[in-house]
Amino acid sequence: MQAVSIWGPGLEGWAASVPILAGGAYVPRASPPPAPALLPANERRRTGSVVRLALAVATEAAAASGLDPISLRSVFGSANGDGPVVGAILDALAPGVPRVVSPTQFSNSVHNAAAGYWSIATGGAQPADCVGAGDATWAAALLAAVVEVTTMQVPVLLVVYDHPLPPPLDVNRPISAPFAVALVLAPGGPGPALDVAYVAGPAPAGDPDPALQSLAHGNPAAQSLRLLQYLARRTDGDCPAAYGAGHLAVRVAHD
Amino acid sequence: MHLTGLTATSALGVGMAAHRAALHARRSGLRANDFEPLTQGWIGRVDGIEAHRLPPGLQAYDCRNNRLADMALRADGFMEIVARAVARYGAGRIAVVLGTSTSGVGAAEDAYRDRDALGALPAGFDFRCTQDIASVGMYVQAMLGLAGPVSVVSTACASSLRAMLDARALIRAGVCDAAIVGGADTLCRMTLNGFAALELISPTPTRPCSADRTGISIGEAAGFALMEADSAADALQLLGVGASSDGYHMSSPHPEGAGAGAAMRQALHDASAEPGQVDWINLHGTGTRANDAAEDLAVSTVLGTTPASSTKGFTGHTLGACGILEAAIAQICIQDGFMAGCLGIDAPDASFRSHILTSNIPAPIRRVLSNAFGFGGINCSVLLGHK
Repeated sequence: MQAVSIWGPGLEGWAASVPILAGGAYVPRASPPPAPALLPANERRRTGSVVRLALAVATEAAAASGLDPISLRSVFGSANGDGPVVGAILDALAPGVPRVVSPTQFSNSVHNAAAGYWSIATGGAQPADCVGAGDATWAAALLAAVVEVTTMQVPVLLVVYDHPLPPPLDVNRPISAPFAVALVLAPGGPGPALDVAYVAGPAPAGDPDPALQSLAHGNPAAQSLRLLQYLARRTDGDCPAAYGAGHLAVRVAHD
Repeated sequence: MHLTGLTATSALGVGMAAHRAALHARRSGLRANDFEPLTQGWIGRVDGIEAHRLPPGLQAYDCRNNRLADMALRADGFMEIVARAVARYGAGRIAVVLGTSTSGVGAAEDAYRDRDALGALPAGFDFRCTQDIASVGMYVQAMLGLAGPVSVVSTACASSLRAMLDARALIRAGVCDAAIVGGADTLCRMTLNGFAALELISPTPTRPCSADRTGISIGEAAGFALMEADSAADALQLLGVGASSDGYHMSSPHPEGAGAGAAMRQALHDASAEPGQVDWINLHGTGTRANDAAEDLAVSTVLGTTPASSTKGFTGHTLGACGILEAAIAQICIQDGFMAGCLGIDAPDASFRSHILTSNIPAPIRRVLSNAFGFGGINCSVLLGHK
């Protein structure tokens, strides 16, 4: 694992979040993600808070890895994609509303919109994968990235993010707060080792620190918080993630 | 990797025999838009979805997309093939890796039309089992009684091809022994109105590669296969996969087709194949001015004058499902020894440099290169056939 990034309420980038993840006081607050500086201005103004959330962690992790972003294949995981954009289109399609679907919003409604903007931002031609698996999205995206690294022997940028849906969808699919995580995984080199395996049966019980539990339970991407706490503390341990009929066994070990 | 039991359902009909018959007869499945007439144009609509019912116990998943997936699962003995695979590998050793672009968003469209005075959606609306991008994967896993990992790939129109790459990696890494691949995408108001807003809907049936082409006809389809390392000798093989990003624009292809060309080159390299070993190219060929022109440049650069055509005049553009649908078409063409030419066009665009077929050409073919490109500048290309 060559680099890591985080963005969430009161968790504004990796360096600022390490003391909190290591056990310091956690004070959630609104943390709007920064405008993506890598994008040209005409593209930047088309991006909303969901794309900005994903690009914030992608940018930080890619920079911290020391690898050229152009060289990185990517896996983007999100349960719900860009809920505000999809919600706006659904509003526009409801009867009695004399509005038409905005072409820009339709282009941005695809599940791979964040990946598309990332490739525009970096000018990269490496492929992007975009997956969703509901509450198991962290497990599914991590597994997809790990098998890509191991079978192709190339570094992969993993970005997992979810954002609250707009009303009225928020009642049917509550997401407590925006949260995103990114890792740069490579077949060798510096950084902690990650072992991942799909295992039958439910995941062993376990949560991050109490202060972070409501976030971990309220956003599929935040199921990564246990792993992120091990990384912040530079300690070894298991951080399994529920995954459908089975679970993903995840073990992190430092040098 | 083999694609055992490959099956597809589209506007051409349910299952492989219906597709075989329509391809030979050069019969289009397109009809005037009777799904969302406001957006005009022609559509590839599957008959029977409205009357189709999901089995008891899985009613929570009821939506147009999962109904179409269910219809496709029941065709060509696919469920029996999977049952035998479960006996062979174990339910926990078979993954589900499917592609969709819009999943069951049609259920949300219906729910939005039935909001109460306070704006709340009706109580019966189940987001996780319908609109959620993963719903088709969860449904297929439950329907087939599997217990391996489930993932749904959503890379717009490249979804079901990209899902094949992910499934192959899971098998190669030893996470599972086999995977259900394919996917489903269905007609919905969002897609039809969105493409209409982009002014990409053709007023006539789509005419890919024609000089007077005027855009897309949207279709719907579902298709599945069991991906496994070994199978019967006649099972279609995934010989190579390529993927790339344009890094250019969210909804317009790179004008020179740079990313498309890279994906095709990678698919050949991945298969250890030379361009001369490709017998036919099934183009992405959506019928838009920009897509077909850029793809022509990419194809002629990478593969010269290898015969090429788009089958979207038969089926419409089935978005995230087009990859698995066109894999099924490749299997039929290889088995029956012909290349399916573009439908509804008299002559290819004179400015094109690639060799575009406008009629069915009998020929013994072993390898088909099949392309799928999507919004977000995502390109996938697969080499299918036999070594």
